[in-house]
Amino acid sequence: MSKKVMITGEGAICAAGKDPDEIWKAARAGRSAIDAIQQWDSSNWPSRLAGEIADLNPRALVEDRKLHKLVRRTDLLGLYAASKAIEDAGLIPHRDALDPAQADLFNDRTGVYVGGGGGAYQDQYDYFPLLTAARGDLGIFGRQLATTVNPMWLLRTLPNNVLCHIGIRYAFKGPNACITNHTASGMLAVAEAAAALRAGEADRAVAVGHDSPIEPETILYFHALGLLAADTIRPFDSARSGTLLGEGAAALVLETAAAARARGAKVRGEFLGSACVAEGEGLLSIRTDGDGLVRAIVLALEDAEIGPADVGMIVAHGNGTPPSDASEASAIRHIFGTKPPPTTAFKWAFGHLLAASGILDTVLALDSLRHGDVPGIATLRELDPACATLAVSTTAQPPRSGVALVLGRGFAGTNAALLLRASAD
Amino acid sequence: MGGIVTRARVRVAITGLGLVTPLGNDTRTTWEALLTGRTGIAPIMTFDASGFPVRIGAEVKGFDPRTAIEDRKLLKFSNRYHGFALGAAEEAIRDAGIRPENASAARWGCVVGSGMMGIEFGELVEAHRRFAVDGHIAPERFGIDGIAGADPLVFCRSQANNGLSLLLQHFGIRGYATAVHTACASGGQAVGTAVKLIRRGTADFVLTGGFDSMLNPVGLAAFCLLGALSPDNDEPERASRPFDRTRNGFILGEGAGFLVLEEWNAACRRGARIYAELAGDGNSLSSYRITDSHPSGDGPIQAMAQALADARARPEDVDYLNAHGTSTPMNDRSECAAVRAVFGAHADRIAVSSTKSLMGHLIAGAGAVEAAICALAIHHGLLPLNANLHEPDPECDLDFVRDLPHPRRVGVAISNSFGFGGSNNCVILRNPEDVHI
Amino acid sequence: MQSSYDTISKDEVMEVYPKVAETIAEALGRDLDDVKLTAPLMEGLDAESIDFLDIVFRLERQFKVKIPRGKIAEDARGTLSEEEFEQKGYLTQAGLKRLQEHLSEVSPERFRSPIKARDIPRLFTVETFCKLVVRAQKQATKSPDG
Repeated sequence: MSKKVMITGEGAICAAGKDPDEIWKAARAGRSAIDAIQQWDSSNWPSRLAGEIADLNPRALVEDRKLHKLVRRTDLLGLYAASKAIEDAGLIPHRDALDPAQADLFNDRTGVYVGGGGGAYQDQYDYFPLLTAARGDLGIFGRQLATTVNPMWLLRTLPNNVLCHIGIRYAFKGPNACITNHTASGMLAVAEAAAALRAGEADRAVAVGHDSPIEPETILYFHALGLLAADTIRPFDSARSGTLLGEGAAALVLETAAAARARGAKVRGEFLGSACVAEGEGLLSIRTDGDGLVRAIVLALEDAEIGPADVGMIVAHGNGTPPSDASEASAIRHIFGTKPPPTTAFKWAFGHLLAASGILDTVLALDSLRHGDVPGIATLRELDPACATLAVSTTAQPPRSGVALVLGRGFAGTNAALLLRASAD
Repeated sequence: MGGIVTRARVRVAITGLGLVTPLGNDTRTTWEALLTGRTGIAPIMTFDASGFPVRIGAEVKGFDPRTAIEDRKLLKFSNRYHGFALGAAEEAIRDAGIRPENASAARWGCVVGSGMMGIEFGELVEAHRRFAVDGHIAPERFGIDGIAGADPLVFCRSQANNGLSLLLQHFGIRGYATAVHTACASGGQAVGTAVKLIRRGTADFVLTGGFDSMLNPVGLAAFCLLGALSPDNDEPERASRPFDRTRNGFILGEGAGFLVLEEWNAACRRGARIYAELAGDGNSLSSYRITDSHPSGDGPIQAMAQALADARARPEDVDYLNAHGTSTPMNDRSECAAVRAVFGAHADRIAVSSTKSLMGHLIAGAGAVEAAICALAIHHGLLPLNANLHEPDPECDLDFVRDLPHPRRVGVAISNSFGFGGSNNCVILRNPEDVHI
Repeated sequence: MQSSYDTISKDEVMEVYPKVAETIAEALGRDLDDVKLTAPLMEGLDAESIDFLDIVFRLERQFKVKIPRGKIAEDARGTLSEEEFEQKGYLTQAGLKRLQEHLSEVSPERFRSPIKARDIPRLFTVETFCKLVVRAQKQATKSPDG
């Protein structure tokens, strides 16, 4: 039998709040944190709504001042969420009380798994002054390079910065990955961390997802592709018109049951199983029948060794785009028939966090189970008949059991499903 | 006896290889160059590098993805390194003699080491022309003027998982698929992740590899600024000299390497040619500095030790090491210290080469290409050269492959890849003759 | 006696020090108070080797001077040939003497023989960077085109 994987710490940040509880309560109260973009003058933009973290104070997120020149906004969010989860799990006081040899072993047996977005258009803009100076002449570009572009440029833009700096800050040296698979990234970070624990490669791991896609060029392309909503995200609604981007991060500390027990850790929940499959029909393609999502849910249930009837609630991807929501509803109907468990989706409350969305939903699923309360979708007005069998509501519903299913879908036809259980307090 | 059930070890076979490298646009040409010591490093030709402090690189030469990929529409969604990936992956799949079909598609996985947003230099120049002529971006103009010119193809090509998407689409892969990015360790981490997918039963077949091209004005600039590249513009063929006392930086390369991995018994049943067993993977964080490596080799030591344990191999089983060996002063030294720490006296009996001496550093592609080279070394019983090693650094006291040809039966080969940010990867390959089920 | 090539007065150092300190504080994320003239960058202010690149870049912009990369190491060697300066990675006696002259701001007890050539940057203090700037300024007045 493979090892049980427990959840012993959580952290999160997004437009709706700076910790899981605050975010969950905002969603529960029906408050959306989506508003006009403030980071640049968006007044002339046809799409200017997003889930931006207002008054973001980098120093309050990450204390180490030197880090601020080495990382980007998205990295700060990831580092913050990770630090909160590590603090919540009490890993550092525990390690620091060990004798040096035991502490070294603890570090070697602690993994770090990060899911991120893989870069931003605006990272490249640091080359604009040089391009201006070069006036189209690459010879000048080369000669003036060293005095125009900061030498740390490449390091700042590396996709694996969060992984690197969690390692350096906490001295964790175990197995690691940096997953850059669009929206699935954060959920895959959890899945790969759990797989490493089950296989005995590590005793515990930090899993983080982070993204900050609110930048002019990304918004521009999302708009041009018709992916952005006119007013708000209305998952599964007849009048849904698209999604809106948000920024943020979430993190979990996972530990084998034995490791958690050995240090007397407070157990928040249990990772039960997961799966990820591709439809693979193109970067932006989504099958109408929900094929990929169906297969992901079936495989995740197999991985968790449970059946559909055991699932007590669903956190749907629910990004508000017409094809994604319809095919998602179709997949849920395929697995759960006409009596699915209470279902919600959170993106309406703080935007689509892309690489961080699935792991933030996982954190919020855990909170929902803990409260015995599946928050409603406040922006839902009229359920799309194509989604009619879903058990969605504008108000809160009690979960049917202590098990939650979280769904995540991304570019390249990626579909991920994750199952978890909350611990009885 | 108690109720302990030990499941039989799931073994992973390498049955297909594909390479597009600075040494050649397929596996055979690349391998021949490694055996004859023909360099792939030359003055940069794909753009005007005359003003850069470094004007040499390891470019892929004369590669046309249309020779490998008939689907022109797919190529519209590809930038330079996606073409390399499609070409190398197609060769690997053909080489393996098996392809995803409707019935097997969901049992095929794909893990690639790439996954960084990619913007072609021409597109950056265009964005500059439209929105930032004076050097500073004017976001309000984006909103007004940008909409009409927003090209969805540019968006698609730049997405971090676009290469993955193209591979899935081209080959019809429907199982577990992901991209990973740990800088220069990406390719190795992709291969290591792929092994685990087969071991844990998530997939029966995995197409895995790495690809990259930072050989463009911005990429070259980025490494020039860090002072990481060899400035020996007048002697390109001598510039990459891992472990030599006079080494002074790496050579930026580009390309792709892909492997087809299969569950061992299934590969045997279909009579596949097995290059090697992909026997183990080790993965660690240095957690020391961003670019400085720990002088003792801490970090890489754990990766190699884990890989040996994972492969159930003893240090003394190892015959060949394809070193990370970038040819930077600090990295080579700390890698040697790590090898010494893991292998002790046996380190003297391991033949070591860094193939970056001939093909440069393929960044996210390096680990996968070098794993493929280990498979070839096992298969052919021949070792590739560590070129340009005239006076070894006294602190790099390993047994380097300095002469050609270098026949040697390889029982176990290992490949190291270490990335900026401290991610370390080590994969271990075993001679198929030594696998006893 | 120091060679005239190297002669930099305390006044010259102190003239650039406030801006140098500010630049280093910013590059390393430290309080200005930490960046004392005598503070060693690596051991005192937790710099790593790439930080030197960043600091030099910022100093160039701040003082509008050109500091060729690798300039510090070249200056340290002075008129000595590479063989006279170091052997098999270690400083020769002549090399050590020359380095000590060049880095006169570094307290003598930090020059513990044998010193590896690659460890020279460990000796650098804030004053080392002040002198680098002063030298670059003098260079610029000699050849106005830089």
